[in-house]
Amino acid sequence: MASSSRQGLTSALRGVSTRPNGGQRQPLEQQFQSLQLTPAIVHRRCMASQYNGRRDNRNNDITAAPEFDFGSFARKFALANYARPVPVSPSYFSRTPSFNDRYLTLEKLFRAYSNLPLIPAADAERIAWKTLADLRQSFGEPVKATDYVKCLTIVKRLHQIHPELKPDAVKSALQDFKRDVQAFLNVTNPIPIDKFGRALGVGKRKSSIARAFVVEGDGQVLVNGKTLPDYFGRVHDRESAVWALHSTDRIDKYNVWARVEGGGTTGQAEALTLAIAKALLAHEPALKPALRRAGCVTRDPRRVERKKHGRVKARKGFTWVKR
Amino acid sequence: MSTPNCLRCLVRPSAGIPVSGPMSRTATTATPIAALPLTRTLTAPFSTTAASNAAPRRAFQPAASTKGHSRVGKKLQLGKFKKDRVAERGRVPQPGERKAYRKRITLSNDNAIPVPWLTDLAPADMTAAENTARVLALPEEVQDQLRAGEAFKTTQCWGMFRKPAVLVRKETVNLANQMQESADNRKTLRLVVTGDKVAGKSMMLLQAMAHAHLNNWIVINLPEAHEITTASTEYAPIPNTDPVQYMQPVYVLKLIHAIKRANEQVLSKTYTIQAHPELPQNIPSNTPLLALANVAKEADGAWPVFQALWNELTAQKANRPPILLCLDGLAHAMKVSDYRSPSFERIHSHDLALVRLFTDALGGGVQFPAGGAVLAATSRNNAPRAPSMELALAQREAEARRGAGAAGVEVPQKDPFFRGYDDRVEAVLRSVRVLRVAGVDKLEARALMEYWAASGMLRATVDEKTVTEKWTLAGSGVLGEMERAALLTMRI
Amino acid sequence: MVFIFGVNFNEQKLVKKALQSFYALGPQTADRILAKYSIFPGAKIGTLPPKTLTALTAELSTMNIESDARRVLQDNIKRLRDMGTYRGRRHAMGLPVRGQRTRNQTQSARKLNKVERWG
Repeated sequence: MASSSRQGLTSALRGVSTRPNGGQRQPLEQQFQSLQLTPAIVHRRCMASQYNGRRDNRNNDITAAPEFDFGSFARKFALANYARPVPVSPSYFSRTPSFNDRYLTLEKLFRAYSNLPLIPAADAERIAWKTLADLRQSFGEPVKATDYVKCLTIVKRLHQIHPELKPDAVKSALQDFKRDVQAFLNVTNPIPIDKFGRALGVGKRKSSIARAFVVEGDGQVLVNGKTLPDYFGRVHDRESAVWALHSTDRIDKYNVWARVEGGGTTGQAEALTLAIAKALLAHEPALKPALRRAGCVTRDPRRVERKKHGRVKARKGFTWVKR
Repeated sequence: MSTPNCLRCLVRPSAGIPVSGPMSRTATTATPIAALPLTRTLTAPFSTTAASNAAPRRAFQPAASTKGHSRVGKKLQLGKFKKDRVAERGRVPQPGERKAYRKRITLSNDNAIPVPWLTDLAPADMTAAENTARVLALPEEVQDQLRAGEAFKTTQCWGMFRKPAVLVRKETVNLANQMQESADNRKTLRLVVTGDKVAGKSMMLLQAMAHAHLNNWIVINLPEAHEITTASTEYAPIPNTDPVQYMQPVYVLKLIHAIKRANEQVLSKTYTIQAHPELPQNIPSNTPLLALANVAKEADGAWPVFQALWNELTAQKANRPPILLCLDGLAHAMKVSDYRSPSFERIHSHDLALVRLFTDALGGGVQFPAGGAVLAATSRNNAPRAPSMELALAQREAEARRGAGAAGVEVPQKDPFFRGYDDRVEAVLRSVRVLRVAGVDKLEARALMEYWAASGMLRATVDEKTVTEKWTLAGSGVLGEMERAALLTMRI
Repeated sequence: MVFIFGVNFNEQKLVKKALQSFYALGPQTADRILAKYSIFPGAKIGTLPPKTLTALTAELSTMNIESDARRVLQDNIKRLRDMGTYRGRRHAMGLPVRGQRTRNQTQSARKLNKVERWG
């Protein structure tokens, strides 16, 4: 046998005569070898092997060297009872073990709790689930897209279980599929109306920032202490600035006092639009659809594209003629 | 945010904008435009393309003679050298022609709809408070007089309407009443009209002049101070003056002609009280002032004639009508002029005889025999910095507000570290009144916009919403800005 | 056409420009002459009264302009030449006087620098 010949070789190297009980020591050495694994692998692979710790006879006279006490070593490190390591997870040898584990867990939970009452999907708490990319990243495994979809269907179904009856096991199982940052928990601060009846809205466009105080009034507008025509020479800019009020027919109902900085006239005027719209929404939240139709609610994210080397501007190429 | 493109540029006159009823209807019924049912028509009340719209559209047909193909547009040039092209030059404008075109005043527009409810100004109209927020037309003869006195400006929108009309606003009534009061008490009103850019300062002067003409005052208008002080007209030292004063013969001749034409009626009924043997043509006493003015035929003798005329007008014991003396662009008259004295020093504007005559009157040095007014208007377009003037006007305004019982008004003081103040300017403006012209209120704005709409120049329903919108866009009703926002939108 | 100081000018010509057309009479001097006779800067030759024209001619005749000014210039160069200075030599050779390079671009010097300098 290969094992017995190897035992002989080991003994010969040590310079010790062959013993009848040497064969029992052999698996221990092997186990010791297997302990030399890297910590990561040790962590990942749960070794499941056992050692039958019988003590050897010490009635021989010749002892060449102090004997290594494998028994105490084995006691010190609790080793499994199996002869060779057996993975804990049944999907250990699959392509995506941890995902599979979770998937199986979810299926089991789904079977177990399929008769719990559900709430409509719209009423369930909004959760940002991990995307396929997120999932692959977090498990470090090449999860298939179809598997992901199937898994997420179950996740969503489980999430729909009535929150008061939802078992803890389900909650903890779903935890792995939630994104780390839950964007839906973010709530915009409502704009307060202060004791003077002012609402402060902030708007940005290009590199301009506008802060507009909107109060009930009769249609007066002051921008940086100047009247509208003083500040904006172009009539189009003036119209842009009060566009939020104009499009909702509120131009004669409010006064505006605004500070604008940064950028040019167009940016400032359109930053004012956004600022006034936000402040107006504080006064009349019901105007939101109208303002959205007028294009006053969304921040225009466009900025000047940076210049690149090897180009005249952001994209314009240098002039050149072949030959 | 508003649309990325300027909607105004895309607007076409005939694109379904709500306009008032058809032209015939507006012309026959005497209802104001606001009362008219506003119909949404697709055709403009007037249009140069009316005929083509009326005619049924024909499909394109090739010309009858189809022999030969004539290319239109750019032609391909195959040769290396261009042919010498003889440039077709039109008629070259005569000297001064282009300037005349630039400076022309158009007072009527035949394409505009006549406004049926528009009434002419009567002599007492501007003093009546109930006429506030009404648009009133200038009578024909007053138009001629104002035109002769160069009261109209090219920047004003006279050429858009059928006939010139003015909005009577609170400030107008205020000014007209002050004028009338001073004339009634045989006193001289001295007042400076100031205010924001395009707020209507020159228009206030024009309204004052119209009021004066309607009430048979004598009106002397110096239309632009910069014409006098920016060294753009001839000048000469006046002999035997110390310090030396300078006359501007060519300008004065033009001024005498303007006075003569503007005040022909009144001057022909006003007589000299003393003889003027020093003039080229002997003028005995009891001659009409018109004849005295007629003596000025050439620039050489213009200044003595003007002086004689001025002396006659301001002679204390004589029977004279009230006098209105106006000047626009005051800052130019309150600085060192661009003229040079023989010793190559800049001449102060107040050493120019004509300006001094005005500043003396504005400073209270001259009392008109039958009362009257000396009005000046500042300008915000063509105005050099005149720190003393700005300070003095701010001071007078603050004092007036304090006098009216306003609490916590601080009268601005001189900056002790600034050297640019001018004592002569301060002396002139020490006791003037200041009339600040700001934006109109919404009622006045509405009256004006209804007039625009009735003339067919504003193609929108005039309602609360439109008025407020334009009023806001115009910075709380600054009239010139309202014109820009509402009236001149089609002008590129 | 109007005569000033023996020169015939178009009536449409600005007085200031007419004065500046004389050698050694620049903008500054022209301005001063205008101020001295109370002529405004935009005045044209045609509008001047004969009295002013004679006065202008008289004024110009007292001034060191035209051939007088040229003679002064030539005298100065001649003095440098007679003294045998470097500058005088450079003038005579038609080369730059004030240390400019002569490798190229000496057109002005070649055109102007001479003992009997005219311009």
